[in-house]
Amino acid sequence: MNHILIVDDSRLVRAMHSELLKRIGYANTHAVASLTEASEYLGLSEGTTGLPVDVMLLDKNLPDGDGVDFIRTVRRSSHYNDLPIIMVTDTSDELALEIAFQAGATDFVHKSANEIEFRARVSNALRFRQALEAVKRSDTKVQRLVRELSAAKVLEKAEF
Amino acid sequence: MNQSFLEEFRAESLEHLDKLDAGLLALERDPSKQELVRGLYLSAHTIKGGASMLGLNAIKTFTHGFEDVLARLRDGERLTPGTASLLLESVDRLRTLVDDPNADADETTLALSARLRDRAAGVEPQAAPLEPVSSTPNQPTVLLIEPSITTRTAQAMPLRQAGFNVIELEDFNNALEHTKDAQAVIAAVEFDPQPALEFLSLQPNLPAILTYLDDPPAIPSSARTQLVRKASWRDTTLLETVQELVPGGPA
Repeated sequence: MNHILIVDDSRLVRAMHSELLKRIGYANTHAVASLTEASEYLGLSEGTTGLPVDVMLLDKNLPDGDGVDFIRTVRRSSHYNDLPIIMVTDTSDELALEIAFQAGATDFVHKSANEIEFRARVSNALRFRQALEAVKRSDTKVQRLVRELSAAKVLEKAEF
Repeated sequence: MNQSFLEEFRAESLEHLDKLDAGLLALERDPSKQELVRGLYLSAHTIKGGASMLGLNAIKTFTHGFEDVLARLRDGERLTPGTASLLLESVDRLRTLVDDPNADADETTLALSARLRDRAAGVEPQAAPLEPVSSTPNQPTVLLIEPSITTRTAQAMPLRQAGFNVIELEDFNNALEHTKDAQAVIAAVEFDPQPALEFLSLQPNLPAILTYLDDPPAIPSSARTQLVRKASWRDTTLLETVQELVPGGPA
């Protein structure tokens, strides 16, 4: 089950995105209204434990901070350095988008985006997440095989 | 469109419009309070974002201009009385738009939008003229003495809508020459009540409303002198007090 975190101070945006996600098959959403709550949800705040999340939909302007600064904070955490983050924006400001991408945003979606575009952005982010997880699992498997092979060689040398 | 989302948009927008009213008044009183600008910007941003999601283009376009003016303040420009008045008028217009969110922009909205775009492009608007001279006969007149143009505009608006003539003055310097036309005076006393008290001692029969911001001043109220706390223009206390003090005035 994919977990999607919505971070937006607007009740309307939280409600509309939750319903839209539900309609396109992602019922497991959690919506928060501030970066502080998002930090707690992700376990970035002291004394909090992170809850599962596969994609984060993040507003740029929140009362307790800038969404782009929050991306940098999230990326510093080893646990979330590859979490797909989709910036939700109503601006066409190219510089603002460039700064967001430099900070580590994975993608962006306009608030006025229709259902088809919204679904595509979220699905792509989740596929990216799943592909990355698969690579990580393969990598772990390869590392284990390398370790086993090395151990076997040591054993072989010791026997002869 | 989902009706519940539209209702949510209206409710949320009205909350932010109240914040914009209060924030603009506070910033106009003290333009150095740059931290207030971010709150104003966020409120405008939320209204614009909601309008964008629901395809409410008249509101989206209007708020875009409004937000662009706030962006200038956010980038360090100080709020001038002319800009404060323009923004306050725009908040009022947004209330009308939010009341009927699916309506197209009318001429008033388009004209105000153009003024916002001009202001965002750097054109400084003229402050509303003081001492409007064209009084309508047979309507009671209120003398409004208030140093802040934003507060003055906010106080005068509901009085005019209720049918009063309002003579706006920013201080007591020329107030005496208008008293023969006035049936009541509204005067700010939060900074220094002395000029108001001296003025009233010369006009003992003129009903007066003394307005204050935080704590009531140590001035006893009476049948002819009332104390009223400054509030949002949507608060009806000031209008009701004027209606009480001016018998025969518009109810």
